[in-house]
Amino acid sequence: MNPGPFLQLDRVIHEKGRLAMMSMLAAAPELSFTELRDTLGMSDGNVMSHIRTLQEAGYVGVTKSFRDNRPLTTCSLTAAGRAAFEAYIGFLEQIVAQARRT
Amino acid sequence: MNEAAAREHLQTIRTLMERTAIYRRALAPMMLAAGVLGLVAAAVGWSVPLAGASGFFALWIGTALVAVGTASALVRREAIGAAEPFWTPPTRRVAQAVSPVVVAGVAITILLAARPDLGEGLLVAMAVPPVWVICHGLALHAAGFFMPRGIRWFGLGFVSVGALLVLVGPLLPPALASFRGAHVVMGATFGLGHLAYGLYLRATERRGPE
Repeated sequence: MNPGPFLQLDRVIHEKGRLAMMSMLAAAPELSFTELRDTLGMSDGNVMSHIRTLQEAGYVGVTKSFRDNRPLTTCSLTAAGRAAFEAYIGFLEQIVAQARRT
Repeated sequence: MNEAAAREHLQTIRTLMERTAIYRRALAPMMLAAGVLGLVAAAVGWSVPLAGASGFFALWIGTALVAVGTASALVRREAIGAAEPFWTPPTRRVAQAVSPVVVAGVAITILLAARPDLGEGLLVAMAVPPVWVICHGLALHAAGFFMPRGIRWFGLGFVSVGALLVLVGPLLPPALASFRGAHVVMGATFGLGHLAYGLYLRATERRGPE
């Protein structure tokens, strides 16, 4: 089996929690911190930690604002994040296709 | 990573993306508009002498068409504001989900409207509102799988009220079993129901996610 695609998998995205966040953010223009936390059933600390990692990688943009005097944190994929996510899916599809051929 | 793990990852990604890409556009304004239209139509039906079944159908089918047009305009306005197309995958899924029951409701309506001998009697006044309420509830419930969770409960509420109307209809005294009574039922369900849900959505949107 050619290990190429596997070796190219993005380590930042490959982690289960971050992959879930990237998948959700890829399907919506932006999502609030609460929506991510509630959908994925994660703790606040977990979500913050994953968001920080994705932000440092340049994959996610974070906007902090106020709505009706309540803090609102929203996340969205950056262009680099979308490209990395698409590449990640491409590699997974390659792995499946490669197994089919062998 | 082996093939099975890659497949599992792809399936998880697909599921999460589908779950996230739910229909969210203009829900509160749509519900509020439908509620106001329903109440106005009920007030018109109550106060203006309409010609039996044909008047009832004309008023409420006209109201439904205006409501659909208003909802489309609201969705289009929000789509333009967000620089997105009108016909998004979530919109398509919602349309596909509601289509069968809408077709069923239209077919039953045509059947009843095409029989003026039945229509001028109590049948229309007693049967049509519950049928429309139940069909509307089923459509909302079906659409709810691709919309925020509350829509499904809202739909089930309509179905329950419709079923209740079917049960209590035969027990009503003649004074209530009339076209005026039917307008009241339509106003209470389509008017007040949508208005209440729209206000709830508006209130919860204002509170907003943190």
